[in-house]
Amino acid sequence: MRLAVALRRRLSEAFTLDVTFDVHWAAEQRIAGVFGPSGCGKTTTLALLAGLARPDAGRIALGERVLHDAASRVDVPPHARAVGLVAQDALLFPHLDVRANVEYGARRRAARAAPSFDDVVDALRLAALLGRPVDALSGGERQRVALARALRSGPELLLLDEPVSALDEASRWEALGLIESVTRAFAVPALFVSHRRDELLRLAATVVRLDAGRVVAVGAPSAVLAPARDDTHAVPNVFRVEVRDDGSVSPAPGVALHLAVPAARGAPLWCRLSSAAIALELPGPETPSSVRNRLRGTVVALESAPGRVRVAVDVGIPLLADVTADAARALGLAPGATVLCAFKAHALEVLA
Amino acid sequence: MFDAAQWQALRISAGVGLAAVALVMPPAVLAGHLLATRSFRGKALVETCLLLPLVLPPVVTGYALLLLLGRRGLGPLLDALGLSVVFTWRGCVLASAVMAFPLAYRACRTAFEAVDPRLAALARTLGATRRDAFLSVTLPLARRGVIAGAVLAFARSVGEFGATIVLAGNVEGETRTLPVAVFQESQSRGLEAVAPLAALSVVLAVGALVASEALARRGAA
Repeated sequence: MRLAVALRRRLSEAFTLDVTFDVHWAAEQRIAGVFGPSGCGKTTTLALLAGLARPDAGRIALGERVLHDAASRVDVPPHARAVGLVAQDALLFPHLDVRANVEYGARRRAARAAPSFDDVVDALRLAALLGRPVDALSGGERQRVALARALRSGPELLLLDEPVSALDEASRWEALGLIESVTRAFAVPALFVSHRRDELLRLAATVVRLDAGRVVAVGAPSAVLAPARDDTHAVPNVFRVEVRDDGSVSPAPGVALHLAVPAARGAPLWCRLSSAAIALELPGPETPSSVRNRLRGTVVALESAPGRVRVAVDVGIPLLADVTADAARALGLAPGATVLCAFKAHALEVLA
Repeated sequence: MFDAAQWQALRISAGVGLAAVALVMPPAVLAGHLLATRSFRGKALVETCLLLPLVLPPVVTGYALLLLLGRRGLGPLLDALGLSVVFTWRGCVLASAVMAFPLAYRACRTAFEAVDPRLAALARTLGATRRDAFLSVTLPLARRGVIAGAVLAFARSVGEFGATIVLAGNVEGETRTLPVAVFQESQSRGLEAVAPLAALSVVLAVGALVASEALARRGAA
């Protein structure tokens, strides 16, 4: 499936959204990302794709279908676009119970194919919730219902607008795993919009990066999502690891990390490390310690922020560590310096 | 307690009230939704016009309707179609509906303003046409206010006097509604004679308000 977008829409005197990008979904990868800070035009872009807002000029083509073409006055109305939307706050219909929400689109999807009710309910673990009113659901449950509702409408493209950002950390990673598995299971291409790097690194095969209403980069997440120095939205230290024979994991050749519980051999995992959990040490004689992970690397950059200095260290993968200004001074940290990044096995979190 | 003529006035008022509600609710719902969700040039002017019957003297509203629908207006055309309005029960219904419209419209507008417009937009991405999204999402979510508006409109219709007397007159058995009967009998038989009818008017008005609240509460559940 291919989505070709070239859109312009003036939103105010000072802000015109002008985005052009082209996304291909390969058969095995179902999720493309849109990344950008708040207010960069992400949500408006989705509204234009769904047909809920009209561009001043431009064209949208999804596969062979032209959804909008200002030049030839084509504008497929939202109900005929087969573009499903999952919003940040789920937007469940409050007057309908869970089952009626899930089936809202199923009764209106005309002749389009859609996954069966039972399959969707199973995949999103909704069986126990079906008779409940939606105001009795948790945030994670609401998002699962919203996703089920969108899937049952038989979409050819799913737009996921920051669908997990309202969830707490633990549910967030579980929800991301679920999104990945259902888009794959039901073979629906999805455009996942987020202002968080870690989510897109976890999910997306391709990322479109927006800034101030323009596309500034399209490509592989690792390239497109490289943290900029001035980027306050960076959530660093999320990486993919291979599991090794001894149950340790490796994010890059020659780098081994110990987990609190050894990993079972199998598919690669995603790990996350809080920047506050990394202690920086100068190389020296080793003293016995309970710290299981100690990686030698080179300081790449330092950036002062209120209450901390953020230190970028290359240990084979990029890591960001937060230390106090006093500590940075005492260690004499400067670009080029050799340091050890030390963190306990418990600090290394395996994501769902 | 009531004599035959009073019972008849009561029946006419009830019928006129129900017919006026049926007549007034569709435009009140549409106008309420339109003005709650759209912005357009001249919106303030439209809003003022819709609320005008609320502040105009009812007799003046009745006079305007009489000019519009009487012999020098659309009267001959309506007569030819067999739909005469002036001095008929249709006149009662129309006068009541016009007078009740602002109340019904205001209640509907407030109700629609409280519904998140993104819900209807989301319904459209699920395959609902604009009309379907309105009927299956927006209207059910606004039902409390819409029902309350209908009940208020009924109460207002049953109590309508000024515009009715000008447009529909005082024809016994056809246009003599409850308030018209109260006025007529107070003139001819004295105030004591109309005390039961007056009391009934109060009961009807209070009952309508209580019912409106109760319906709204049930709608919310």
